[in-house]
Amino acid sequence: MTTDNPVGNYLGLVIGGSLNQGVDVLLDPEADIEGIGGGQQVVIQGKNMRFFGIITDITLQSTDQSIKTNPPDLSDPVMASITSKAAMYATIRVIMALTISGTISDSDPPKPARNIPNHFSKVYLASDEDINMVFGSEDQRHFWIGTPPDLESRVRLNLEEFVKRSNGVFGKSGTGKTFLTRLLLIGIVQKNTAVNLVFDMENEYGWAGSFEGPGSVKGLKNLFPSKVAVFSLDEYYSRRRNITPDYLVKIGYNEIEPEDIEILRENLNLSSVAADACYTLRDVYGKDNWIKKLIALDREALQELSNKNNLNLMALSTLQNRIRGLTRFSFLEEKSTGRLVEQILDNIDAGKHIVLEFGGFKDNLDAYILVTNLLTRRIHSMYAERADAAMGDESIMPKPLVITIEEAHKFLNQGIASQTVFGTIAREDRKRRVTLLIVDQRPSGIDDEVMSQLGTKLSCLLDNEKDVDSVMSGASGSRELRSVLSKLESKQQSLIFGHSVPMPIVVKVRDFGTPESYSTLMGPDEKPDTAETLEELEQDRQDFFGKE
Amino acid sequence: MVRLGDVIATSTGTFTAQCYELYHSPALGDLVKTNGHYPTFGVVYNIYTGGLDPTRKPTARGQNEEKEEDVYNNNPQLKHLLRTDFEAIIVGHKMGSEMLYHLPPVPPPIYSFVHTCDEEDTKPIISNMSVLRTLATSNLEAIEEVISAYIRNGFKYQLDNTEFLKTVGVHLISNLPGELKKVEYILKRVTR
Ligand SMILES: Nc1ncnc2c1ncn2[C@@H]1O[C@H](COP(=O)(O)OP(=O)(O)OP(=O)(O)O)[C@@H](O)[C@H]1O
Ligand SMILES: [Mg+2]
Repeated sequence: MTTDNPVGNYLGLVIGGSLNQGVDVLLDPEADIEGIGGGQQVVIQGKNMRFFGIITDITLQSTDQSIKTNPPDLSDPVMASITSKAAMYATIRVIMALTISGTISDSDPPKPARNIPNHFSKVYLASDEDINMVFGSEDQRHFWIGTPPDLESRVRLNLEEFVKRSNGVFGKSGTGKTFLTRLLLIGIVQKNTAVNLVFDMENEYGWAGSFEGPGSVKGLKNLFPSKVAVFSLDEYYSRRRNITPDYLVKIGYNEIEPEDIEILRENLNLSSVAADACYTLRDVYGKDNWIKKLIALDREALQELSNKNNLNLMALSTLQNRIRGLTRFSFLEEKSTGRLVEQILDNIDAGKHIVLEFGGFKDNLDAYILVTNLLTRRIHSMYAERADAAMGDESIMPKPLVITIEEAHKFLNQGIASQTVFGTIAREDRKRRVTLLIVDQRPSGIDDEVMSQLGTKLSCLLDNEKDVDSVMSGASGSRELRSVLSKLESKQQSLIFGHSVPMPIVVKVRDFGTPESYSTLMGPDEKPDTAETLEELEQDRQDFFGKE
Repeated sequence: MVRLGDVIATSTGTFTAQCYELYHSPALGDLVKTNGHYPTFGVVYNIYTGGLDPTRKPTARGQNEEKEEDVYNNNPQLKHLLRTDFEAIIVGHKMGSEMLYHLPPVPPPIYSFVHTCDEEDTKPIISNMSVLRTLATSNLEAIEEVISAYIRNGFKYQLDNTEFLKTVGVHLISNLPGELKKVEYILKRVTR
C-alpha cells in the first residue's frame, strides 16, 4: 500500500488488544483528544496490510494512581505541563472491521478483518481518500447517504444489495428516521434498483408543499412526478391541500379477512376468543359477507348466533362493537367497487413507485394497521406467485418490491410476527422479491428473529438499553458498537451496518430540504442508467422548477 | 578547578573524599570529579564533619565564649582534630575524551585528587537526562534534596529555566513511576 496518511491524522501506536475486543492505541501526546470521537473511522498501517477500524472507546489514564486522590498543584505551569505530558495518557479502543491487502479492485475487495495489526503499528484517522476507497464511488448502485462526521467524503450504500433483504431504520423520536427513510426511498427511485410501496401514515413521503408551514419538505411525488403514484385514503384531506392524488383508495368489507382483525387485536383491545370468533363468522356467513352481516345483527340475532355456534356472547358483542367502529372509516365501503390491488400492481408493473397516504387518518393506528396488513397480504401473495412462476428466470422475474412500514413493531412484535405476512416477508428468502423497509422508534418491540434477519440497519440515536440491544443483536463487534449507537448526535446522525456497507460507519445523514439537495437528488445526480430516464428526469425538473 | 581533597574510601557506585581544610567541602548537589585512569564524576550527596579520631568525640567548648568564632580562635588545635568528609554518587566517567554516563570499570583509587567541575565539564552532564535516572533511582538518604540542588546548579547554564524544568520534570516522572508527589516536591525545592 502506498497511500500516505496526512500527518495531521496521526493518532498513535497500537500497544495491545485482541481481535474480539479491539486493539488499544496509545494516543500521541500531540493528538487532539477532544477532537476524537467514538464511531470515527481509523486506518492502521500494519506491516503487510492496512486495517480499517472504528473507534469504540476513549480512555484517559495516568501512570500514577495518586493523581485522582491527591493531584499535584496544577496552578504551577511547570507541574501542569509535565503532568499532562508524562503522567497522563490516553488510549483509544479500535475494533477492526476490514483489511486491505493491496490496492482495492473488484478482484481484491476489502475483506472483513480476521487479523489484527502488529504492536506499534501506526494509527491514523481515516482521510476522505480512505473513505472513498472503502465506500465505493459514484455508480449505478451506490447511493450517497451521508458523510462521516468531520469529513467531506461521501459514504455510499449499495442499493442493489440493499433491496435484496429486509432492512430497518431506527432511532428515538425526532432523530431523523423519516428524513433518512425518505432519502433511502429517493435513492431507490434514482438508482432504479426496486419499486417502492410506502405506507405513509404521517403523509410525509408523497406530497408536501410550502403551505404546510415551515420545516416541510418535498416528497417523492414532488421530486419524481412521473415516477411516483400517490394513492390516498382521504379525498378531503388531499383536496384541502390542493393535491390531486393519482388514486383514491376504497376497500370493501368483503376484502377484510379475519387475519386483518387478528393483527388489530391488541389495538382494538379484543380478547383472543373474540378475535377467533372472526374465523367462525367467516365460515358461517361466507368470506364476502361476514362483516356486513355481523354489524347488522341486533341483540337477539347475536344471542342466537352465540348459542348456535357456541361463541361467547360477551366476546361476540365486543367484536361487533369494534368492527362497527372500523366500518366508520370513510375509505371502507360495503362492497368493493375498485380494483385497488390490481391498480397497485399495474403501477408497480409500469415501474412506478407507490406512496399510500393516510391523509386525515394520520396517527390513526387502527386504520394504518388494517390497510397496511390487508394490502400487503394480498400484494405479497400475488407477487410471490409471480416470482415462483418465473422459476428463477431473471427475464420474467418481477422487479424487487420494497414495502415501507412505520411503527413496525405493531406488525412484527413477538406475539404476532410469526403469524403476519410481515413476519413471513422478513424471514423469507430473497427469491420472492419482496422485502420490508421497517421504520421504528422502539425496535425492542420487534421480534428478535426478525431483527436478526435484517440485512442493513440504519440507526439514529437510541438511548433505551433494550432498544440498543435489539438493534445490535447479531452484529459482529456489537458490544463495542453499542456505545457508539448510544452516543450519536440527537439528529441527523446514523450508524449504518450490514450488507450494503463494507463496514459499520457513522454518518451525518445527507441534508434534505434545501434547494441544492432537491436539485442533486432529482437531477441526474449520478449518471442515470438510460437516456430514457434522463429525459424523464429532465421533464420532472422542468415540471418542478419551470422551464429555464 | 579547585582541588578539594583526596579520595579516602571508594566503592562501585560512590566515593568518599576528605577535604584538605575543615569545612571546605563542596555543596550538596555539586558535581565533583576525581583524577585517575578513569576520571570519575560524582554528585555530592552527603557531607560530614567530626573528630579525626572516630573513637574520640568532640566535646562542648563554648560555654565561656562570647561568640562562636572564638571557640575556634581560642582553640587553634581544633582545626587539626576535626575533619570534613563528603560523599559523592558516581554519575559517569571519562574514557579518553569521551564522557560516558555509566559506572567506571573500577572506582577511583584511594588518594585520587578530587576537584570541583568547571563549566566545560558541567554543561554536558547537566543536559544529560540519564544522570537524573541514576540519582532518582538510588536509595540514598535525602536524595530528593540532592536532586533539587543538582538541578538548581544547572540553571546557570540554561537560557530558559522553565523549559529546563519541564524537561527535567518529564524525565523525573518517567523515572519515578507512581511517585508524582515526590517529583513535585523535588521541583518545588529547586525554585524555593
Ligand atoms: N437529513 C436531514 N436533513 C435535514 N434535516 C433533518 C435531517 N434529518 C433530520 N432532520 C431534522 O430533524 C427533524 C426530525 O426528523 P424526522 O421527522 O425525520 O424524525 P423522526 O425520527 O422521523 O421523528 P418521529 O419519531 O417523530 O417520526 C426534521 O424535521 C428535520 O428538521
Ligand atoms: Mg418520523
